Amino acid sequence: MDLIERYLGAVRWNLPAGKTDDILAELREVIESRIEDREEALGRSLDQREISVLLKEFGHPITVAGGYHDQRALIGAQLFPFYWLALRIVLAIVLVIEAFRFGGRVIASAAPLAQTISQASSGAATSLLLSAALVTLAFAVMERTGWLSDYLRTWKPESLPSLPRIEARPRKIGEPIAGVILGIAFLGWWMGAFHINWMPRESDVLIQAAPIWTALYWPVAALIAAGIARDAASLLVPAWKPLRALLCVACAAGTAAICAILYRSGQLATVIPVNADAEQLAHIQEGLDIAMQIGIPAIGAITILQCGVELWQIYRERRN
Amino acid sequence: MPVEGDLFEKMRVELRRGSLVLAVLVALREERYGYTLRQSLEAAGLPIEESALYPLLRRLETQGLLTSEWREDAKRNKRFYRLSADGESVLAQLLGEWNAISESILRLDTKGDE
Repeated sequence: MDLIERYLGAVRWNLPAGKTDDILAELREVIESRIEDREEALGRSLDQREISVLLKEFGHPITVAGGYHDQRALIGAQLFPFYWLALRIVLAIVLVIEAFRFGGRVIASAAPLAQTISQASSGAATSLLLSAALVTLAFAVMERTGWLSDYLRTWKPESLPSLPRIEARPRKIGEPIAGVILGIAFLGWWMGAFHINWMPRESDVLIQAAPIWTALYWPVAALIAAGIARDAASLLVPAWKPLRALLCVACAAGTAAICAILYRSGQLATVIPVNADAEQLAHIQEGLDIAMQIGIPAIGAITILQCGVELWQIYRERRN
Repeated sequence: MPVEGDLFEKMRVELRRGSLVLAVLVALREERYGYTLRQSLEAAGLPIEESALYPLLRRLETQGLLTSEWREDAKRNKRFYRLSADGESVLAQLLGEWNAISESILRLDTKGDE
């Protein structure tokens, strides 16, 4: 009988207040009737193991007690579509904001890169979880207060917003073809297959790549190769959407990381004098450095934004 | 195919869930306590989990469709349920609805066969 007491004790903890004793008295009577019936059929008393099996058949205490509560779902089936829509919208907005914050922190923070990425990721994950929790909480309150019933009774078709029609974006093959061709050309130049003279012959200065580029030689090559793979996948296997999404995220993350390293290095290029004087030289170097201060974060932000747009398009392709 | 089997089982449970309330109300035209009610439903081919039946009885009682009382039977105190006057009236309406749905589906099914 100890087992039955333990079982009913566990049920008691989760019952709604008020009718606890009455409900438990009834459950005890039902369990005892079942035990009696089995004992009668077997012609002997049930042992502990058999009583345990019977109680298990009766149901988990939390399930049994849960049935007596008025509210048995945090968000019911009627409210769920509204909740799901709101959750997706809020998370998409937070994701875009967090992507910018992430990029900004990675590029501009003075702390070591790995530490900044870890902190920025943790901050983004916390924001997303907190937003999801707040939306869920808000809708749980709506479920409890019956807001939806009032709304569904009073809404009018005239009050619906005029939304643009969702249409499948025609597949443009020109973009990935151009991406593959330019990517291969850029990779060839980067790997030294051919040389382009950027400076005019009669220039007073020479512009030389900063030493940081030597350290970034292979990462940049890998990033260009990943970009070619992304465009090739979009062109040749458009149905492989998880692969395309993965390559898109990898390219954006790689670009953001390289931008961060370049920004922290403080210099993209060094100006070497040919005929220029010191003042002219300092002026050109300063101009280059300012362009880097503005241009590198901008490239990082635009890349992340483009990745977001591409992921959205891949998602829309899946829906259509 | 297992997926089809799962789908059928899910739909079958959904279909039966709604009809169980009606079955309980019909069975409680005659006074019964929970244990015998469950046995009679099972004998009629409508088994119901205890964890679902007893909360359902409480809900129907709170809604005024059932009345209950504790009484001694076979040397044990048992809670007996039966249909209230309001319950009788709601049951009559529900049975009418049930029959109408059944006839409509049969009519549609017959048309489909033609």
